[in-house]
Order: sequence, then structure tokens, then C-alpha cells
Amino acid sequence: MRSALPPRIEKRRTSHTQSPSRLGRLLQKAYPAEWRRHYGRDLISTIDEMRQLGTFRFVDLIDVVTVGFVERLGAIVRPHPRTSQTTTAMFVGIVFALGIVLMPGQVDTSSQAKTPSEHTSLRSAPGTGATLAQWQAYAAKQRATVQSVNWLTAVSSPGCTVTSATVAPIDGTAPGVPSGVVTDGVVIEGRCGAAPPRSDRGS
Amino acid sequence: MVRASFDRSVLVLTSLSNGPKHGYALILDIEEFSGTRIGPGTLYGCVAVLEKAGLVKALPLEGRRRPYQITPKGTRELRQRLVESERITSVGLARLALS
Repeated sequence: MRSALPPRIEKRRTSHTQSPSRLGRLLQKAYPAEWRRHYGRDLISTIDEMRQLGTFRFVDLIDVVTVGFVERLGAIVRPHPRTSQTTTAMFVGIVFALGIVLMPGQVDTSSQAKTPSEHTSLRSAPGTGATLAQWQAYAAKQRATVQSVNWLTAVSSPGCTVTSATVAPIDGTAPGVPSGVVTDGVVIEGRCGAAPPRSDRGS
Repeated sequence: MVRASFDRSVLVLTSLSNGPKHGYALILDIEEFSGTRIGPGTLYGCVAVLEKAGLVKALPLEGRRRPYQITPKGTRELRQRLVESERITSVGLARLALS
């Protein structure tokens, strides 16, 4: 039976009650500047209205940030066939924990489970002016990190079941990454709310 | 219209077909007539695609809210999609009746 969520995810789980300015910073991280320029204000206005009416739920926060990162990364989000919810929600947790995941490859789900928070030392991407070699070295570290995580375990949370974890290729669309470095995003699929927590099913 | 966002696009266009609406009104209306609750991120992701395709357009701000309106092109697109859906629905139901 799993115990508490990893610290970073637990913190994020409660962050939908945060102030508008923190929400603004969150959107700034998640959405590309061009998108924010056109729709950021409308989105925040809608969220504020929902919050005032008490209808903005955690799943909405996940939705907002997920769509932002999908816009930013150019990843393809596939809704789970058994539920109408966008079930790639856990994608958010991965992006928060690791930043951009580089290099293609499958996630090794049989490797030793580690939580994303154990790898925060690898989060800093090379800054502006970094050489291609530095980016590639960073990419290699990130890939090693990704492959050491059992995403099915690390990203699960009470009430949500992760059904698959794959690395989706993103060809040169990630912000700040120079051309010549192939980037990928981790796409996690699962269900929230439609199934009881795993601990309730006796696993 | 982008295939991947077909369903949500139809929902948003259908909602706008009886008049302009701002974001939260769209979410509520779509939930009411379809039973599908779409999140604000999904909504604006969809609106962005539709606006880029010329199927909806943003209207001037009303206070803090910005209404969106379906365009003539969007109306044609919606009609075409609904007719297509109706045809598929008819065939599917007829075949189910035979089985």
C-alpha cells in the first residue's frame, strides 16, 4: 500500500488555493509567452470568476497547467477512452519535478522506484549562451533521471490511477532549447475519480 | 478544424451558436447541454485553435470578461460537422437495430 504523496506533488496538490499573483506566476511558467499575450488575461479572469464562485477545483488547476505545458512542449494529449476527463493530468507533476525531459526513449517501469523530488538537483537547465555540448550533457542526465523513475508509482496519487507512461517526441519546440537537441515530454495517462484509490483495491 | 480537438471544438461552437459568451459562461453552458465539464485550460486551448482557424473571434472586453463569438465560417463548419455526426449516428443506430 502506498503512503503519502511525494513532497513536491503534495505541495502542488494544495496550491489551487493560492493567490492570484501566484497563479499568474504559475501560468507564466506553464504557457508560452505568445499564448499568454493572447489568452492569459482571459484565462485568469475565468479562473478568478470560478474561484469566487467556489467552482474552481483541483482538477481545473491540473487542466490549466497541463494544457499550458502541452502548448509549450507541443506534446499530444490523448484523453483516456474510459473517461471524459483529460487524464494526462499527472504530466504536470513530471514537468514540475524535472523540467523538460530530453532525448527519446521509453520509461523503464521496472527500475527502482524513486520520487521526482529525489532528482531536483538535475532540474537546472543550461542557461542562455550555453553550448550545444552542455545541452547534450544536460540531456543525458535528464534521460538517466527519467529512466530511473518508476513513473507509474511516483506519479500516482489517491483517487488516481496511472495506466501508462511514455516519452513523446517533441522536435525542437521546447522553449530555450537550441536546435540540434531533440526534446521529449513525458506523457502520463491515467484516470482520476473514476476508480477507487489503489489501496482500496487491495493491491 | 483540427481533428484531435474535434469534440471540444464542436462543443464550443455549439455553445457559441446562440450568441457570444465569455469563458466561464461557455464552461457552464457546455456542461449543461452536453454533460461534459471542460476545464478552463482546455477551453482556452480550444478557443485558441478555433480563433486561429477563423471559426471564432474575440470581442472587446466587457469588464474583466472577454466574450467570444462564432464567425460565419465557424457556423458553416459547425453545421457541416453536425450533419456529418447525424449521418453517422443514423447509420450506427440502424445497424444496432439490425443486430
